[in-house]
Amino acid sequence: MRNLVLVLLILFPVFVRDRHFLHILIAIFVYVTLVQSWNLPGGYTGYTSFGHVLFFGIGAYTTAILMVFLSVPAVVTYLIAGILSSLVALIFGYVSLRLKGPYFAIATLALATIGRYVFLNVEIFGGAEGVLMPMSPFSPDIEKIPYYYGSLLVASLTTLTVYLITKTRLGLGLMAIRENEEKAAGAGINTTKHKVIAFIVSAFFPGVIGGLYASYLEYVNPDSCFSILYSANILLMAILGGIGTIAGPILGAAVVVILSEIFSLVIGHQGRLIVFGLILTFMAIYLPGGLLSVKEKFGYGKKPVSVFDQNAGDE
Amino acid sequence: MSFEFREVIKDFGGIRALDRVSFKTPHGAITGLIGPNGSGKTTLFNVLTGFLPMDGGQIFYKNDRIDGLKPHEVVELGIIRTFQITRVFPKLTLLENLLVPTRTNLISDLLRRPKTPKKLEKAQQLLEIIGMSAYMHEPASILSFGQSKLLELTLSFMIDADIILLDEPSAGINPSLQSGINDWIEAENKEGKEFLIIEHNMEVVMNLCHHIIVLHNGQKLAQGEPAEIQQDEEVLDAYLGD
Repeated sequence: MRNLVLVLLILFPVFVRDRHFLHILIAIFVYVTLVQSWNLPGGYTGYTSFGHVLFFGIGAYTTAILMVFLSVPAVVTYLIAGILSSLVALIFGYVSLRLKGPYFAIATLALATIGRYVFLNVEIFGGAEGVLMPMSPFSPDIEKIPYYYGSLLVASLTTLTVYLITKTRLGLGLMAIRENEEKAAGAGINTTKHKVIAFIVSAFFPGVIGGLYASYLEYVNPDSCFSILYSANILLMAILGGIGTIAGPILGAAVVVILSEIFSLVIGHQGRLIVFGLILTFMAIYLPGGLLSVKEKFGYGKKPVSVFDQNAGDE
Repeated sequence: MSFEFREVIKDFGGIRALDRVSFKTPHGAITGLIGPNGSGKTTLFNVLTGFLPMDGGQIFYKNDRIDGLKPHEVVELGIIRTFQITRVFPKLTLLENLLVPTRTNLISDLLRRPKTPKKLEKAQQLLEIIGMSAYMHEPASILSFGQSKLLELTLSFMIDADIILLDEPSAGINPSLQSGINDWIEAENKEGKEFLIIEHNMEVVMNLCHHIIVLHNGQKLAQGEPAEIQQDEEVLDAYLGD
């Protein structure tokens, strides 16, 4: 099943050249990357970030600046973007991961906001106007295809990385921290080290995909690159799909992006947001484990974790 | 001698929870830590295992200072503890629970699989002893309170710890399970593991422990063999008087 989907996705552009369809799939891959990377600290470790867009924005601006001012080849800038994001995560994580629950969430929200203001106010990086990037070297009828495969590759690598980590001592340690941080420390887990590693890994991929998406759109500005809507969408997708599972972020990203398209056509942009708000409320009450937990109700499959009862185990 | 406390002080606001506590624990023994509620036993555990900073004094383990270490660094030294309120990991399976305890946090170890053949064998053995083999792949949330306590105790046997600190291992569990736990502690002690146990049940303390330390109002009241402690006027006063 998994392999079939992957093969179909790889072959898709061979048969379908429709620019709009390709764009929707690229958006899904970008979101899979964002949600899956969020999932490592957010879903597996229990540290819910409201500012994951920060790393996406850092990546986008890194690529824009390197390409425009230093003429660095796009692919190289993606890697640098990932590394820079991880570096910020290392510094910020070391300080902020001492905070728990809502305090951590607010700190991440604040940092993403700071990121936006920094780029709004630095004139050489275009301020509010942003940076216009070099035009795509590809002809218009195939220009989306490299970005299609690029984002598919990044989304796959992110998913694979998170999956592999969950199978290691590190992954088990992260889950133990989510279940009970104090007990984890008492069992010998270096909780700070575990959390910081998870945070560094989780920042790398949004950095890369931010860079790739910037060169795809050929334009960056602070309001779109650091938009809180990204962070909100990430949470919506994670909750909808199933937090702390590998399939959840993929399912959540695909469902939300496709529903967004449909709703936009049927009920318009504003109406769409209202519907998503209602869906989120419904999920919180009736299906806190996400769509994947529907399966659970029929008695099989691993139970996804709910962001709503993460600390319910504490006394 | 394993642990040595020298004039250890711990304050909570204006309340002195540990007041210049000094003692040594004999090497290889089962040492009991007793005292009325609020006498500072659990605080002493928290200070010893790096969960709380101290306000004065020193703690030594085998002549090295260990106060100021982080909780995981204490475990890396071979000292592991249980908690008074059970803190198993509810959404992890029993097997996963048992694979969590570790004495190393090196990156090279963190990237390994947690389920080595050796660890798996040990986990299966221990689950066999506590009669939970059949539930190995079930989440720990299915366990009752007593079973959770048993699993928590089992967790501390998973790594080759030299010293195990138990915070009321028999509180809230039925008497037959209690005696099973005590037999188990004695057997592990004969194998060379040292224990420091907080315990309320006097009968258990007197039968199980080789050595007893009594705390009262944050101070060390007495220390000695079970027989001596039973005769100690001050101890009897603290427990039965007022």
